[in-house]
Amino acid sequence: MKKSQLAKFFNQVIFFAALLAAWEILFRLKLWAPYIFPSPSAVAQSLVGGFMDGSYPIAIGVSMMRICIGFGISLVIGLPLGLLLGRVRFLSDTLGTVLNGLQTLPSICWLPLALIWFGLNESAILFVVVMGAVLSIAIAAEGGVKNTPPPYLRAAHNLGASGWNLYRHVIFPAALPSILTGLRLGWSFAWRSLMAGELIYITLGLGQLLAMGRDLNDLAQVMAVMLVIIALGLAVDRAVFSPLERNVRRKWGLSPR
Amino acid sequence: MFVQAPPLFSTTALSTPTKTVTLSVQQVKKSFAGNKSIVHVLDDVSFDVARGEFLCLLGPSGCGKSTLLSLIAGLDPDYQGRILDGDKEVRGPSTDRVVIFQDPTLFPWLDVIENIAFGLAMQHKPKREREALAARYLRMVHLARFEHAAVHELSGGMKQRVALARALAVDPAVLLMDEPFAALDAQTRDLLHVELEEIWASTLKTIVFVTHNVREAVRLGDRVLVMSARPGRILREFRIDLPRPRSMEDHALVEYTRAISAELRTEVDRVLAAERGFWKRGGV
Repeated sequence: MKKSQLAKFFNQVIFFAALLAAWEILFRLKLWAPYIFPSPSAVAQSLVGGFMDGSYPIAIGVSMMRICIGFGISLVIGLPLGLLLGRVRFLSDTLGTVLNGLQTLPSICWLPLALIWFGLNESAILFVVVMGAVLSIAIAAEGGVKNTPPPYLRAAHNLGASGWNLYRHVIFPAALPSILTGLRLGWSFAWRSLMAGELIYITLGLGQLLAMGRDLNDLAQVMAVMLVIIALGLAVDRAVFSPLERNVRRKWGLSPR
Repeated sequence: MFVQAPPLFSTTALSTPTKTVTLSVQQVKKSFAGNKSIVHVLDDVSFDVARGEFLCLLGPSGCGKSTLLSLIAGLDPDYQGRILDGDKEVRGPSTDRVVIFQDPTLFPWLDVIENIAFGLAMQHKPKREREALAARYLRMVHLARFEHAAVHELSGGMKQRVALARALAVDPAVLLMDEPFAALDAQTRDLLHVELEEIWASTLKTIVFVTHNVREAVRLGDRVLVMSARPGRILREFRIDLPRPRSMEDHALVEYTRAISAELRTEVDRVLAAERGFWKRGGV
């Protein structure tokens, strides 16, 4: 570890220790009842208990499966759609504006519609997740294709690339950095939509554990589950999307972010 | 230092019949709509390029020489007049006339050797042939050690050499070079002049080389066409009858440089006078 990284690490450790200490002190001052303001140790206990009795692993498994399926569908629909929108002016002028408009709609707003269309089942929640991710993936892919540097296109034309070859060997790789940014964004939108959906209706999953915590007046569980949701969101971003995006940006010679 | 270029057309599988291409630019005019008026970029430009010739187009910046080059390349179909490649009119881009831009425009998602093989892959050449040809041209630009380097690891001069190899790999009859060395430092440029001259001699390519650098034009060209400021016209032709390899310090070369610079100076003065007159009249 470099010296600056070490310093950063120590700063973070001290900061979080202080945060926990402040929390515990506030709790001991008994300003609020414990069921309104649980102690850090109660949250930790709930966290451990949740993992021990198997309810968290199951919830995590179910939520992760839902988001993987939903994100997979979004990818399969959004990516080709975006690539097409980037090249076909007519589609971009018509369908593209619709997509841009829809993207301003928080995807959980699709839930009432989805419940009536699909009924009270998995399909409804998947629909909400897909609506959360598919638009940002499509829009990012469209932007990437449209922003292919013209010099690349000129050079490629001149060297005999056209049609599908041009697309596959020049436009797609040139758009890849912004496609990856779109995937990352899409994943985080999908994750939010899923949590909202599970919270409102669907059985099993992390969102449902949150709702259950509220029903039981068990704020320690609510906070513990919130921590799990944050940790999972961070883990996927750090383990999958960040490195992917960073590697591509570095190889493409773009500024590191 | 003269490095022996590897034999290019030694094996029968790779050799192509010598193309009898002569470029002919005939009464080419080009203009585009500016904000308020029509801007004339090229005005009645005509010249021929003989097969195997090294022709330099020299002119002040904004004289339309780069535009002219992209017209010849077929990258811009919007002009008046005729441009012939052999007996065929130029209708679009072709691997017969490849441009090397000032910005090397290498593809960063491909490594060096893949960049060189790009045009061959577009022609659906089998993998083995592609690799053999790419490696050959990589050696020709003396970058064999950098076969699998990433584009961002290369210096400006190295990038331009890869771009040259990438262009050569599709075996064009004509290389169109658009101020390829303008962004490089003087030493790298001198080195690349030597390399380019060797490659030209060993591959028998026809080269049209655009530059605003008088010494570069005289160093490289069989012939130098001096262009006027916008709208670009051919002002004068200089035939550089000097033996190769030439040296920048050569007395005769310095003499040519002086004569051409004087010609250009008159042109620049004319433009400046016109601009001053324009401002005296009240400008915009």
